[in-house]
Amino acid sequence: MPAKSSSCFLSAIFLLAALSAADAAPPAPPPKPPAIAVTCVACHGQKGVSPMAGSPSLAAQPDIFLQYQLVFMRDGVRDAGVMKAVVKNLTDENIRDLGAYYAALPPPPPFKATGQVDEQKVAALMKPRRCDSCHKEDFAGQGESARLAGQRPEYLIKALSDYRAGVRRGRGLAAMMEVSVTLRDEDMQMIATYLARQP
Amino acid sequence: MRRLEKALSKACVVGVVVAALGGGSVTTQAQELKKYDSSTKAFWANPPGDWFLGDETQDQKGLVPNAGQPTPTPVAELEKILANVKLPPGFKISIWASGVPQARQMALGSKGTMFVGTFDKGTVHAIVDQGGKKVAKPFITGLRMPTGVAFQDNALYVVDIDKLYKYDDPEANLDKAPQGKVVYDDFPPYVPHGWKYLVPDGKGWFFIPVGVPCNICLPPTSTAQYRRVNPANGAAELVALGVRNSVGGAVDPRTGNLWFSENARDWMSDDMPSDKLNHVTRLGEHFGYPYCHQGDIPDPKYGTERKCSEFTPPVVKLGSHIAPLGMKFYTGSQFPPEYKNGIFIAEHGSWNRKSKIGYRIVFISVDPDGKNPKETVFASGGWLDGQKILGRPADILEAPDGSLLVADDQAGAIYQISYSK
Repeated sequence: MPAKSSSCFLSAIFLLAALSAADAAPPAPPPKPPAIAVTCVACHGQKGVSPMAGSPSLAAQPDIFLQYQLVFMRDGVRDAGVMKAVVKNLTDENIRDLGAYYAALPPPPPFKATGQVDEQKVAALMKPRRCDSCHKEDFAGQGESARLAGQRPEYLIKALSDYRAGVRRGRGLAAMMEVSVTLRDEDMQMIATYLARQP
Repeated sequence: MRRLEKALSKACVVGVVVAALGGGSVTTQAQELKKYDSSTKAFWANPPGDWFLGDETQDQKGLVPNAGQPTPTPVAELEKILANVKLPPGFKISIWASGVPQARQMALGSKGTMFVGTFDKGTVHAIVDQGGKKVAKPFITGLRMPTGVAFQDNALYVVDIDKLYKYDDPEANLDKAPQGKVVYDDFPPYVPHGWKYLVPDGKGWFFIPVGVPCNICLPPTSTAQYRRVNPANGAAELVALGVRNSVGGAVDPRTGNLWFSENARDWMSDDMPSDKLNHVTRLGEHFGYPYCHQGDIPDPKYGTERKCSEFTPPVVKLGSHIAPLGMKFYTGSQFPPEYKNGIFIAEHGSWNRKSKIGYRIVFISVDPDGKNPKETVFASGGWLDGQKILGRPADILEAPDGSLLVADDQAGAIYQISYSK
């Protein structure tokens, strides 16, 4: 198993990334929310960091991921629950604006999730499932794949359970069904706790 | 994940073997061949665990299937894309319809309605002419991956992973789709490579591909094949074997034979193996998967078991990872005579390759027996801007006037390519 050498390689990459980040210009001013975003604040938080159990944080989610989920909920592909009424009249332009806005917000701080995490067990669960191939090494997500780092744990568990049960529709269907179908409830709990605590 | 890497390597040192996946059926020896137990219901409900995420090297890390585009490209941006598409002299490309999200296979109704399948949007669009403007509306919704559509004998056929549906007289019911009738359902329910294409055989049946639920695996029975299905009574026969994943095909008007495009395996390298254009000349022909790729490269894992000479090679090696999808023989008379009976193929474009290729339309002239193939680039340039994807040709249809219609599932549009001297 090449885990050891690749972790050295990765360390080097992380170091380089850290160095170049230190050299970069000061961060851009916070993005201005589109008017339509006022409807999101109560459940998803003022800066996209959710204060409400069951409601996901949206801050720093990938633009494309956010847009897909809004389109799927608006068009009835993904069962939207309470979101149904909120999204049903969104235009494509609203959706592009919302995606761009939330993607540009700073990521949520690590979530203070309770519960034990055995890192060896988490690694044994996540490495063979190659979560990082799509969600990236730091779990910041990319493209159509969600940011997982700092997400509310109960929401991560809901998402994984929905994939496992085959009721979450739209994007990543094949891959997420495959990785979730062999997860037990306690596995999901531990993975969610681990991810929620990531910066 | 860096911490996880360390935790895992520690775990390996102390001998804690990773066996959390799949009830002990997963082997820790990379070289050992996999076995599938297709006698269980769970096997059919879920894809085996070596789907496309399973084979990348550290060097290839970060390559993931293209994310696509959630909303269609606005008209002004589409115009800019098309201005950069290069075509042979005398041809021009224009927007035929915009606002058609995830446009995949197209089928033209006898009264002029265009039906268009989608990927995971689960919708079949109907495009109608409203005062000279083409307007797309969701016609059928709530399906899973209705990529393949066909119009035949005043009925719309839609293939959605494991079901072939028939919708009678759709153009008389455009406000509300009639209830679909399942006319064939003997397909496995896999989602991976479960999205399909319909190829009318000209005699009332359809050629239908059944893709493998993995990147490279010993394919479960009833996958890796083309079938010919009779929608009138559900009869079916095997046409071709050893087919990894085909999402495009057409019948040669000169011979009645099936030709099809095929997407080759991933993760071998940026430049191997090539995707294929295949020609079926006899029933049950085997095209090599998983043992042999592009007619002459043994698979690194399965290649020791069989020889490449046992299988039918492709007529044309189309290039690695270019992802050939929809294809059609040109039968019209609008284009110059050298295009007659040649094949247009939509290249959806690469994801499993560091530098992107494809994202264009090629033309193949070839004899009816598959001899003397010649490939030329027909339309290219606008859909790939450096490494940025602006469009992905997914299907091709010949319009009644002899122009070509091209579905783009990234930009959510249909283009028209026409010719005048």
